[in-house]
Amino acid sequence: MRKLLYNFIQTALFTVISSLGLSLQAQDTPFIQSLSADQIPDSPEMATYRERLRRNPTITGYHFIKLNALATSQKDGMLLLQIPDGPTITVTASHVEYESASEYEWIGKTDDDRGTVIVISKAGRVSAHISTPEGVYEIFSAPSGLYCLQEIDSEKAWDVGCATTSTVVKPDNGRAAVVEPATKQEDNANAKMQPCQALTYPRVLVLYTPKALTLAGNLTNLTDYVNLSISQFNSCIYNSGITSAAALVLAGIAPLNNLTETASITNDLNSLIGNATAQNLRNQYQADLVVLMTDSYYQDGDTRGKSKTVTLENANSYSIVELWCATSHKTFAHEVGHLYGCRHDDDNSALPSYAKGYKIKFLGFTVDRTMMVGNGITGDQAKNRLLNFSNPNIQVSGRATGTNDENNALRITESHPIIGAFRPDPANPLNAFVDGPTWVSTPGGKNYELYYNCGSAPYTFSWQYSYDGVNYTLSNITSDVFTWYFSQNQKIYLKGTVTSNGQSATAYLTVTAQLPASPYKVSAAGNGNDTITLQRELPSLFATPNPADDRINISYNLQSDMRVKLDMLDQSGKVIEILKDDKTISHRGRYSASVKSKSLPGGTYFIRLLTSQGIETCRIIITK
Amino acid sequence: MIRSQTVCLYLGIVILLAGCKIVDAIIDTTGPLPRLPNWGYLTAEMNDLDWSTTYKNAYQVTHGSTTYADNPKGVFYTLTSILYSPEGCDRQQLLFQNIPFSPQTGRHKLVSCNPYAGCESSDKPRVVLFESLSDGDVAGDVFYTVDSEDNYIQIDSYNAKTREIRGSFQLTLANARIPRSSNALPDTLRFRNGRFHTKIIRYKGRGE
Repeated sequence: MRKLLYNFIQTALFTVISSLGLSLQAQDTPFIQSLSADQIPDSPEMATYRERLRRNPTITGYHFIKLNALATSQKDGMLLLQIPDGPTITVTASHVEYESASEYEWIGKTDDDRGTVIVISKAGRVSAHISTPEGVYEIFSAPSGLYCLQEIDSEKAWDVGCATTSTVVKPDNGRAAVVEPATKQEDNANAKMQPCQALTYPRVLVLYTPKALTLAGNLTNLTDYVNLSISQFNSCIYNSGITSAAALVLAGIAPLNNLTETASITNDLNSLIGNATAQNLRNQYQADLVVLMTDSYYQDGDTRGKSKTVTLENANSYSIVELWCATSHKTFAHEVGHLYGCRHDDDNSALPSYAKGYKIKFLGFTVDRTMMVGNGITGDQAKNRLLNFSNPNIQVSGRATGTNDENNALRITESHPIIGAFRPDPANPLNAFVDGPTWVSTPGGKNYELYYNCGSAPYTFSWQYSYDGVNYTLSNITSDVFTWYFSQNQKIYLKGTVTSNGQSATAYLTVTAQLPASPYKVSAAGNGNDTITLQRELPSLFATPNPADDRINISYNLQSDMRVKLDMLDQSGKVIEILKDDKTISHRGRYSASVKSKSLPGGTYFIRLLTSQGIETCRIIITK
Repeated sequence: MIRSQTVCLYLGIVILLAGCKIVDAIIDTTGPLPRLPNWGYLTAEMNDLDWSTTYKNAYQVTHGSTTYADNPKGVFYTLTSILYSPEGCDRQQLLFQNIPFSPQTGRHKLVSCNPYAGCESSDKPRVVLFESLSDGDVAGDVFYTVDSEDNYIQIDSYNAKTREIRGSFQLTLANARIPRSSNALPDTLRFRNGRFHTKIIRYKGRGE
């Protein structure tokens, strides 16, 4: 009992110290910078902007702010968001595609994965959606080079409802239909080259009515809404362990001037489907799906989006979404979810039966709801919809986000190739994607392969890896297969680039490793038992200096008597040197060892300590 | 003492009056059932059966509203009646549109504007029945008028003071969506002995 209490106190202290450490170290400059009243210009443009904000009933407050560069604001994949007059939100990066300071998509998680933060920058214009259990905020560009942080009233996010599922073992990013090359390359390096065929990513055409354009203010603002809407949908794909090949691609944005909103969204939706201009635009943009952004107030604001099919019908793959709630109420992601074949949580009206959303319950009460859950929840806990599709193999806050009969992730895994083939895709320039497991639960080497097409030989490859998604290190791998050795819980960001005749294409992948030897083991099989089992302490392993040059000094501490094996591995997981392999028991205490690294090529290596109580690994970099 | 009793009496009356405030419509703000206003009734026989019994224990809301249009300029009347399955998953919306307002009693012929047949817009009086699935979030089959049949809506009375409107209708509708999204309803729907008595509800604009 005393030991249990001791362990509990130790855990609590560790948590407090860790969180303090994080808050102190997470960033150099704040991402959100508050402004005083005299820093906000009083111009007609600003007055018009404020008037547009007032027309949105879900915005309960707003602040004009400045945004600092993401690269200097985040640290080690952590970003602190200080909401003016509000909470400070700690975000951990989960999916990052960082090309440059002006072109990136940064998605992070908060609140034990219950919250999602999306920050995107397109041509230097930043937009953000901050969705946490405690509050929802959005950031959009404002006049005079400022940004506007808008607070969204979750009570009014009484959105429409739907459902889904997946029986996949672990989300291995298993691209369902990797096509074999039509002709085998004679030697080697082009083994992953595919014939120049159309990409199968589902493509969406976003149309807008004149009223929607007026509401946005101008096309640039409207484009921000559209980009954020697509990122929000794609964050659901990434959060749900679905292959990134299911991610939505913007085919184009175009006006639809001959459809005037009526009071009935169903009426407008049928008009949209029958609209010859919309059909022509869909063909012209080669779009698999069409979403019309409107500015109406359908049924007194009660209806904000509607779709024409949940059964993957090509001719009916149209949705209407009210622009003013496309991201704030997650309506765009929800409606596109329908077009991907997902249904509400209680909807058994079609097949497959598992294509339903899921309400996450605890003691009989709904505490969270996935993207496609149909009805609003009045309880505080689940007011804010998760940016997750239901999936029994993905957990949020220690609870499964689906069941075998509620698995929209599986539905999307199966439906995206069908949707992607609704319209022929445009001819592509050189393009690439990375394929490999995005969720790793067992230690060892995992292969990541760069698939590419629409280029011409010769090809060259490069791989970069990052621990924060923003700052990358160039690896020494020059083939189309990159191997990473997983031996500890970590998040790693990969960036593979293929170059051909002066053209290059880059693909990103974020990998999360959750290995059994975690200091804390959370029993979270979705059965409501939230017991936390403190595991035995592992020896603490250090290696210095890091980066190292000609010698590495290793130190580890044994908390009790045990058998020990110490070895060194290269990046592919191959053991290159055994430093210690006890045949007998080592006694409790601190030990040291050293490695001569002068003869080793530069790169990333691992020192691995295997004991009867678990495995601990330390990553080191050898520079030359 | 008497003064305090009087104050209590007035206070009681005020509370009682506030509690008995007459509302235009019932708007349910919680649960899966609609948050739409409901006032009065709309009844009809659909293919010889009571339309409201399409779903067992169905829930129905009916109300009117006005639409302001620039082209053609004027005020038009819309009549909506939505039938919900008990859990609210499946719905049928009977929607009369472009009914001349201000106030016109008499019979108005209803003609179809079927987008599937190329009609993009129409300012003529019309009616459509939408079927919705997934809590109203997914559009199902859609039924437009068969123009060779006698389709009409008749406004019998309108009270400008109370905004109550009363009338009758007759419709023959046919499904326009092929393939069907569901086969819950037959291809052709004949509404006979249609009657309604409801009120025009003014929707607030967004941000009002």
